[in-house]
Order: sequence, then structure tokens, then C-alpha cells
Amino acid sequence: MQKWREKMDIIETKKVIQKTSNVCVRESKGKGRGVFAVRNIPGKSCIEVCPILVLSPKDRKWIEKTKLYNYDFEWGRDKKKAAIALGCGSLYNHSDDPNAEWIGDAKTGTMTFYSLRAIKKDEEITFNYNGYGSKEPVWFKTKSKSKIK
Amino acid sequence: MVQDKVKKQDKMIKVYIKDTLDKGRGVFAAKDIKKGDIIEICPLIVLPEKDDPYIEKSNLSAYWLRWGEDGKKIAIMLGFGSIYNHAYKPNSELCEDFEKDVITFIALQDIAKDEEITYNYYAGYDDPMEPVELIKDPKSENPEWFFLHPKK
Repeated sequence: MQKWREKMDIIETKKVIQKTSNVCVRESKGKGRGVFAVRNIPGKSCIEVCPILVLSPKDRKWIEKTKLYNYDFEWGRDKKKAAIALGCGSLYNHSDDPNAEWIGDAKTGTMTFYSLRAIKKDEEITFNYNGYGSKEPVWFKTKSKSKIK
Repeated sequence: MVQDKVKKQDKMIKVYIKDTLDKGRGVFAAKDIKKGDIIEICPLIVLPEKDDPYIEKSNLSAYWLRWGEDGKKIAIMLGFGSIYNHAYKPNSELCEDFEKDVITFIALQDIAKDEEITYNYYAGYDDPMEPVELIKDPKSENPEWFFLHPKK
């Protein structure tokens, strides 16, 4: 009976994913596409809830041989699985000084992006690909600021 | 003024994701949609031709679609694009833009609020240029390449 109850709980918590009108996709100078704020977003608030596609560790090995390597997120408790974020989730750019961060929810199969500080309208939204606070270099070439200008 | 703009943005959102009874996740109408209206504009991740065999081997093989004028590239739909379910009598269709790399979902008929939105995964596959094995008979027992819930 209890097991059944637990199952029911999981079904009930599989909530509806609403689309947000907080963000839009635009060209970001020198970085391809990027995600920008459509309105002022207050600090520590939800920017977007993204549905995800979960890939098994086996699938991840195949995916990492493709261009999707640049897009997948580590997923699962042991970080062996991979997730592809839908919504605008795959299009956020990297920054060492980010204004957003993400948190995963395995139960609902979603990733939630939330703001670390207040974000102004038309500002680009970025997060640190290596995890918040990390100073490690990223795996792709970043253009220096002078080059972009 | 600002509030008006925000309301306008909210008006553009026409879909939400919810679990269907038998098909996993699905995309539903958040409001009444009229025939010919744009439902959603999805950005894409476009992959080169050489990635094809690797994608085919993974779970993602159920989500990709052919892309480009010659259909050799691979695209994965972002937004809610990858979540839409299949139907042979769909209520929406895809409009592909190879230049901007976006896919637009357009309503084929009036869609009521909370109705599920579907499109035909095989649309365009009756094109003579497509390989024969991709054309599947809708009357056969399990024409889809993905798992179908048994009929009761």
C-alpha cells in the first residue's frame, strides 16, 4: 500500500512545465547565439524551467563523439548520465562572472535556471559551465575581449 | 507601458508541458489557438553529417530530424519542439527555415485550450527522394520506430 502511495506521489509531483517569457534567443556578439532577458529579472528568482532529455552513460559515450559534446550536462547522482536541456537551456553562454546558475530535478526531469543577482532587461544571461565559483578553463577557445571589439 | 509589453510577451506563450496518460510527456495548448496561428518557434542544435552514426546509436535517435536543403545534416529541436507527440491526423505542422535554423509550429486547425498538440513525424517522407525503408504503412501493427503503448 505504501509503495503504491509513493508511486502516486511521484505521478502527482510530475508537474506542468510552463513556458516563461523571461528570456529570448538572440545573436550574441562573437559567441553565436545567446539567451537574453526580455524583462528585468529580480535576484534569486526563477528564470526558466527547462525540460530535458536524459541519456544513459552508454549513450553519453556516443554523444560525446559528436558536436553535441558542447551541449550536454552532467546528470544523475554519480554524474555519469548526461542531459540535453531543451527550452533555451542549451543556448546559455559561459561566463566566469555569471549572473545565473542551474539546479536539476531528477523527479520531474527538469533543469531550473535561477538568477544570482538582479538582471536588467536586454542583458545576456550566462552561467559558469564548470560549476558556480570555478575558475577552471573551459574546453573551447574563448575570444579575448579585445578581439570581440 | 512596461506592463503592457510584459503582457504582450505573456500572450505569445501558447503551450505548456504535461504528462499524457499513455505517451509520456506531451505539449498542450495553454489557450485557444486559431487555425494558421504560430504555436511556437523552436531554435535548433544543428549537427554535421559525420555525427549521424553516433546519434543513431543513442537514445537521441528518437528525437532528431533531417536538416538542410539536401537533408544530410541533423537537427535537434529545443524549446518544447522535441516533446510534441506524433499523430497521423495532427493538429499542427512544421515550417522549416534552413537559413535561420529555426522550426515554426503552425496550427492546422482551431485548437482548444488544454488540447494536446501533435504533428505527423512522417510528413514529407512520401517524397520520392526519401529512401524507401523510411516510408511505413500506417495500417501495419507498429509503424513507428518508437514504442507504442498497446491498445486496450
